[in-house]
Amino acid sequence: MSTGGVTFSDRQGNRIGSLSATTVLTWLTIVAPLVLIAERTVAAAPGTPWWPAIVIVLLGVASADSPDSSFPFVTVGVAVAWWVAVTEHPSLGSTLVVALALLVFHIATGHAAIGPRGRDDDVEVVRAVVRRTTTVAGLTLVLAAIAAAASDRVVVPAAVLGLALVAAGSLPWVAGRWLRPGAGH
Amino acid sequence: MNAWRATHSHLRAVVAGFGLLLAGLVLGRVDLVLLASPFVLVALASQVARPSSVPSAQATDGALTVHESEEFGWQAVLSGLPPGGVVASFHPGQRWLDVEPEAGRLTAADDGVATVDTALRATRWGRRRLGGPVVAAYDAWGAWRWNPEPFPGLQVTVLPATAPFDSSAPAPHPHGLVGMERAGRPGEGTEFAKVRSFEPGDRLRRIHWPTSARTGRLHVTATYADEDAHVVVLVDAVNDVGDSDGIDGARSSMDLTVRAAAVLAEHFLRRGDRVGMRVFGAWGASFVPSASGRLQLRRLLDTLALVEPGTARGEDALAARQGLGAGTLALMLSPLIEPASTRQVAMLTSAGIDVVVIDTLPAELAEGVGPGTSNQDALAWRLRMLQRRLERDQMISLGIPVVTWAGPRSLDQVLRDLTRRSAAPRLGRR
Repeated sequence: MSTGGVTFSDRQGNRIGSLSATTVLTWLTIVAPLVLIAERTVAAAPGTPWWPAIVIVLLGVASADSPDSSFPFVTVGVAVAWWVAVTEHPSLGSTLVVALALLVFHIATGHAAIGPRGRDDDVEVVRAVVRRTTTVAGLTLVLAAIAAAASDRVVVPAAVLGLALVAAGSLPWVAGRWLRPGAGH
Repeated sequence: MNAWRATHSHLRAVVAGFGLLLAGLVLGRVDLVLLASPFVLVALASQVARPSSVPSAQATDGALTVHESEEFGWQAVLSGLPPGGVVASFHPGQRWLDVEPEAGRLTAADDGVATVDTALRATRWGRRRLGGPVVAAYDAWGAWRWNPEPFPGLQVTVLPATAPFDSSAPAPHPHGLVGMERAGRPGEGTEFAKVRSFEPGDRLRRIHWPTSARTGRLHVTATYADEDAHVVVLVDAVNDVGDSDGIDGARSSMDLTVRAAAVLAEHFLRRGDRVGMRVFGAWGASFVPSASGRLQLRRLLDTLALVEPGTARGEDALAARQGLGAGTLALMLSPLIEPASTRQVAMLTSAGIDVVVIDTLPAELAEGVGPGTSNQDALAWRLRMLQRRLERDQMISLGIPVVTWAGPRSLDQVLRDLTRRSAAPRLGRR
């Protein structure tokens, strides 16, 4: 992926910044999920004040500007706290959209934090990121489907469900420990 | 730093994931558990993929010598990377250095090895140390980062560009033993002089048969000797006027001076002449004795690359004459801003040295408002330009050729005039 775009320099020839398609795309993948989260939250809890949405979007902009900092973590915390505070019985669809938006935000900020802003990315690197995001999103959908199916038929205590999720999620770690050379011996 | 360290991204996934999971269990909210699940999955996958071995990195280092506008490269090879690992690299740019990719690159590791290539292009002569490149390796999830020991920047000597200069004019005073110039005296050479009577010692192959048959006496073709000339390039580095944007953009007076000196030196050395150089106004580069050959060209270009204008003011104006004898062709490259350069020209000329003054002040400055910004600066510049014009006219009236450098062809006519004039006898002060 080539940056192309426009580069801004001062009179000494020092680079101030650049605006490229890659940069714009990176900002979009960071800020757009937060807008979606805000929209879903407001939809799930009508009558909720709107100003937290602005705070979240501003934090998203700060995260896009400084992805390798604490801003993304604070953004996730504020977004989830708002969700917890205003929603009581959110629909599974809204919850799933918010979960996937958080995933995209997390992966996008993580990827943006690797290396300098406006850099050139190998196509293979971008493909690998998309592939991993899709895999995690797929697993999240499966978990959501299990949760939906279970909630309709049997009453599963949240603690049991959580433990089940931890157990399912721990499988890769257990497998990794088992497959790593010299592990367990 | 030689260990893999967790990134903000990994810490975020762990804390947010398990924190939400815990909150969901405590509050009994399934939605929170679902929100936690992507973070938990990513955190666990990142933990599984945590690299166990320390990679190794090797990169281009040391010193390089290139010409202006010539491309060169910086390369780093990182091996021992985890599967799916990526390498982020960034080579800092600086003035008169083009870097591609300018904003860095993210390179995928193939079989645990990633090769990072950065193309560099120096756009102005000089010697400089480039900024240190930065490289970091990441695992597939961007959760773990490894930084090698910092790489030192390259030491680059950028030689001035030598555009082809194909002057056909001879140098005015050939004095050496070998070379391509036509000497003033007869001898073994290729340039025709006259047909004269045969004398003992003449070669038989020189006999001119048509004349011999017509007159009944043997005649031979006489030639001028082929000899070399002594050329000294005098570089005025007291001032550098104007902005320089490198070889592709605006040129300062020093840019014109250095590039013109390089072109002239290459031209005369290629013809077999002896070329020396003297630089005024710069520490570290002052004098290169005359010699011929490709090695001498490299010496001269190295000297030009070291010129730092304006670092040694107040030099004795007489210094220009040291080591120069009558018959030397001195090419004075100067923007003619400093009055001392005019005095040097006068002294050299009175010593019987043929001086050609090559004016290297950029045309836009000679005719424009100058490098200043205020009205006072512009007025002072205009006054200086008027004085300068007067000095130029005085030199021309004294028979000193003054040529505005407009490319290699500028000198052709002047050198022809000097050659013609050198045949006439004249007085010189010693």
